[in-house]
Amino acid sequence: MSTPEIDPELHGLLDEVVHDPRSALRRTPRRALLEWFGNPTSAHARPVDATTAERHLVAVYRESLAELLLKASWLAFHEQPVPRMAPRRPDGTAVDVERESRALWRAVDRIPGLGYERAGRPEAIAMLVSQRSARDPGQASALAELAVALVPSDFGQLRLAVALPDSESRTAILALQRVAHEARASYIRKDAHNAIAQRMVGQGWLHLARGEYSLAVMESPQSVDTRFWSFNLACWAGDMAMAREQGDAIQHLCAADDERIQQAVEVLKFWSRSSPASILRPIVSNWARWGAEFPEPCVRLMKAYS
Amino acid sequence: MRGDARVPERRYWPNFLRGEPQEIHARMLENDPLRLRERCAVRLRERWLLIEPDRAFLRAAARVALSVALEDPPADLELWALERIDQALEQILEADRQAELAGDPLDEEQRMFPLLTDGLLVDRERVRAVGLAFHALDELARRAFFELMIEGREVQEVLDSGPWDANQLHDRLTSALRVLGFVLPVRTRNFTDVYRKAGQKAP
Repeated sequence: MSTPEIDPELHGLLDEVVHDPRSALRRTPRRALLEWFGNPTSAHARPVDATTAERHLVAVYRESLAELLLKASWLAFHEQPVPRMAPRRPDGTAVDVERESRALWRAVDRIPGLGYERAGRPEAIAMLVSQRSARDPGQASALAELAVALVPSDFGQLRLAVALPDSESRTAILALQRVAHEARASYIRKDAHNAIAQRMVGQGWLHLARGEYSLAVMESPQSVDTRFWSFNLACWAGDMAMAREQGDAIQHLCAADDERIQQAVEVLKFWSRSSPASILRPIVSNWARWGAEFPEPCVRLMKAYS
Repeated sequence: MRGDARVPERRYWPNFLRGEPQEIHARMLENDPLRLRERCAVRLRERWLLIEPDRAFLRAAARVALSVALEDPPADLELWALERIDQALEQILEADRQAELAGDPLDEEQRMFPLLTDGLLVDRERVRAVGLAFHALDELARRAFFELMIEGREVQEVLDSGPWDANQLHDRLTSALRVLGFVLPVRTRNFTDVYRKAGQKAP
């Protein structure tokens, strides 16, 4: 790669930045840089170009439609008859699903006449309107697929891969691996690793799943649900050191009466009903051996197997 | 209603946010009644984001125009506008990233970033890639670049107000400058002998 040609004055400045900080930044062309960077009182602001402005409006129509589709997909996913952890925001606060649902469908009701045709996907609008009345949980992946076709965002691709049915788990894992590798936001990478692990557990690849949970913990050490699942598989593997590490983290992150523990118990109960005895037996026997050494939240969690 | 039952406060959009999305959009561009241009410029500096401010303004104006039509009036219009700006900035970052991953050619607006092309001599065809690399830096590197190079604040002031010592500040700044294409030597000096944080005694 060739070195960019640097203005001599700027080169001198940077040289000073590196070698003599006592004087360097006093001579930064700061006024000029600040003027360039949107000083609202400067003459910098260019006249608005109508074509460019219109292009932004069309982009926002597409993004808005994709957001509505993803929300509808997310609601459909959570309406499926499968126990899941209650959804939370990236900062860990609980999401009011009812409120989100009302806001979504109110927005969908307002779509006609707003010019959404500019997004260029009439079938997406039709699908949203149809989902408004049908509320079909089975449409989760189809809704996400349309959203990704409109805007191929990291979040959209995560939602699509998560919503794919169990019969497409291998496709989902491949898509999630790409998201986990490329996504900009760490909470999306964390969710992708978690989702890969869950898909791997479904395939019976528990050792691989443990690795994915470890990556999810690295992305988001505060994620309690990741700690639950990692703890569960450490018990299965007989990895006392990891179980203790996760147990300590769980105790630190949530009180014994935290509602997330009961949600996790329901998830584990559901999983245990569809898992072979060869998987469940080591968990139960290891827990019988170790249980007394673990804090109360872990004891509550493992009641899923009692 | 009796007793403690509360009637929810009825809220309305201000007049300049009423009408069809296209009407509101035109108003945002012509008169900027929400002061989006100024708010975008401030927000970019608060979040240490290298996005061309006019571009941020145009996306935020479009975002506001459509959001008004979809949402109920908020309790706090200032906060609502700020959230729409943040959404607009995130959308631009995401769109640029996806376009770069897909290898799409830059459009004229993506090439137009005088701060980078004229101020820091970044090639016009590399503006989007450089922006993505800059936003992949950790926040402190971006902060060091903004506070020292964009805001032009004094080294001592930046040192005192941030979670770094002089060496760390220097390293963050040079990592940001490297991303912008400057070839800089690795630090060999110990700058903590030159600059000390306020209240810090000499060793």
